[in-house]
This record gives sequence, structure tokens and C-alpha cells, in this order.
Amino acid sequence: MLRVSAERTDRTHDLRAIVDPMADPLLPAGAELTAFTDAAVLRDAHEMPSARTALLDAAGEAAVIRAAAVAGNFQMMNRLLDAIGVRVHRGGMTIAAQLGLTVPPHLLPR
Amino acid sequence: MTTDSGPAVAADEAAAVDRVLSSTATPGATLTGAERHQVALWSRRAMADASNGCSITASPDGEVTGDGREWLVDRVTTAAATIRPTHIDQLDDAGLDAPTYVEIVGLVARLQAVDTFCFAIGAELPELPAPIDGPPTGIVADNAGLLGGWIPTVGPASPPNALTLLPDEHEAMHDLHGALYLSVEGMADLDADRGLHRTQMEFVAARTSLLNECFF
Repeated sequence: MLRVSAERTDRTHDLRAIVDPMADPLLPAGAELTAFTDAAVLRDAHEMPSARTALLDAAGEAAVIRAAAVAGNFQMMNRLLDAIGVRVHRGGMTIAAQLGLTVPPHLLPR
Repeated sequence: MTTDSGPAVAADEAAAVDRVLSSTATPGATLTGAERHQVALWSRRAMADASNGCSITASPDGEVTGDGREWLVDRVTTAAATIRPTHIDQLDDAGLDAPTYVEIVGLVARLQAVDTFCFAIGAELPELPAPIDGPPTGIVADNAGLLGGWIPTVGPASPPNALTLLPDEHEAMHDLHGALYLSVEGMADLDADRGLHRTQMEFVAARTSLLNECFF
């Protein structure tokens, strides 16, 4: 969805930043979003305060709330899909290959 | 939910968080309020243990233990990507059937969403409400089948209908999804802006999935 939304709205992006936290996602506050998401998902109590402050300074309070909310939402969705055994769709296979990710056999599309 | 410090949370998001917390205490399709409360306590303990570098069952090769409930809570909380169909067979052998499996998965997933949200904005984890007496509702979809997933779904297994075996869990998932991210209808808006532009939201989503080793 990142690629689709960026292309449809004519915005720059770099998918490599999904797998490489040192890469620039070419999005507004991209580096801050990376650090914030990593601290939130990994429950890094040491990094979370500074990551939150950095995102607040770069993009504002509403951005902090939404980044936290979206990370939370996908904490839910990831768990549901992995537990129910929902397979990767064919479009996802293409993106996984582009990012150098190997989809495990139990999630391959039929 | 209440926050004493950090960014202000909008009323609809706070209400959605409160509904998740309430759902940990009320009877579900197969579990009593007390049993759901216990699931929530196990999930929070598992996440705390994992965050501190120790976990009960997170070994990818770990087999189901006991009646499977605590094992499942721990696994969904800390290592959902390691669940395999063989585990579901072991859980079934232990007496944990598909409806209870879906109920536990849904409840744990929503609680972890809420707890991640609170942690990220700098709020204290909200207290879990006391369990409410009453029998399970017994409401299970009678038109679900094994349609591509490991657990019965109504229609082919996909993100929007992953929990359709239990209508109440399905609705609760969509309620939180809409409050935190976008509704199913809202996902059609590729130029959406809710504090972050859609591209920024999708970047957070993708990075979260990568960290969880999820290919969604």
C-alpha cells in the first residue's frame, strides 16, 4: 500500500527503507517515523522518549498520535494474520522479492 | 483512557481503547469474563517478560503445553509469526477448539494494539477492569469453513475477515482498525491524512510488519 499510495498521490518514496533503517524513506519525517516505529514495536523504553520527542518536533502532535495508532493497529493485524494462517497475495510476493525478503513456504499463495 | 502527559488523544480513539479494555472483562463467545481477564493478564506478562529479554514459550520449536491457553496467549503476544498448523493440531488435541482459538487470538491482538499505542504516546498502560459474571454467549458463525486459512472463516481467509468465525471478535477488530488506522471504506482513500499522510501511515505499517516478521 505504501507504493500504491505514493504513486497515486505523486509522492516520493523508497521502499528499501522498510528493510534498512539507515535508508531514507524519502517521506516527510521519514527518519523520525522509522525510529519511533522501531521503539514502539520493540517496546524499547530507553529509545521511546527521544524517538517521540524527535517525531513531535519534526511533524507535530497529531503525527505522534497517528504513528502510535498505526503501529498499534498493525501489531493487531500482524498477530491475527499469522495466527489464522492468511497467505501472502501474489502482489505481496513481488514486493517481497524486490525487498530481498523470503516468504516462508506456509504463507505462499496457492 | 486517560493520559496525564504526552500528546492529547482524540475522543474516538480513547473510546475505542476503552472498548478494548472493557472487552477483556466481559463474556465472549466461548470464554467467561474471568477467563478473558486471565488471557489479558497472561498477555501483558508475556510482553513484559519478552521486553525484559525472557519469555516462556517463544522458542520457535516449542510445543504446546497444558491446556494450550497460556501457551497460545504467550505465542500470539510475543512470536505470532512462529505459529504453524501443527500447533493448531496440538491445541485441538489439548481441547482448545477453533472458536476458543479465535477468541484468544482476537483478544490478545487487540490488547497488544492498545498497549503499543499507549506505550508509544507515553501513557501508562491502562488498568484492566474487573471481570463481569455471566456465561459465554456461544455466538459462532454457522457458515464458516476452511477457505485458505488454518481456521474457519466466512469467505476466503483474508485480512478483513480473519476473525469471522466469531462475529463479535470480527466487529471488535474492525472497530479498533477504524479508530487507529482507517476503516475498510476509508482504505480506498490513498490521499487520506489523519495527522500523517497515507504514505507515512503505510510506511509505519510496513516497518511494523517487518519487525514482526509478518508479510502482510
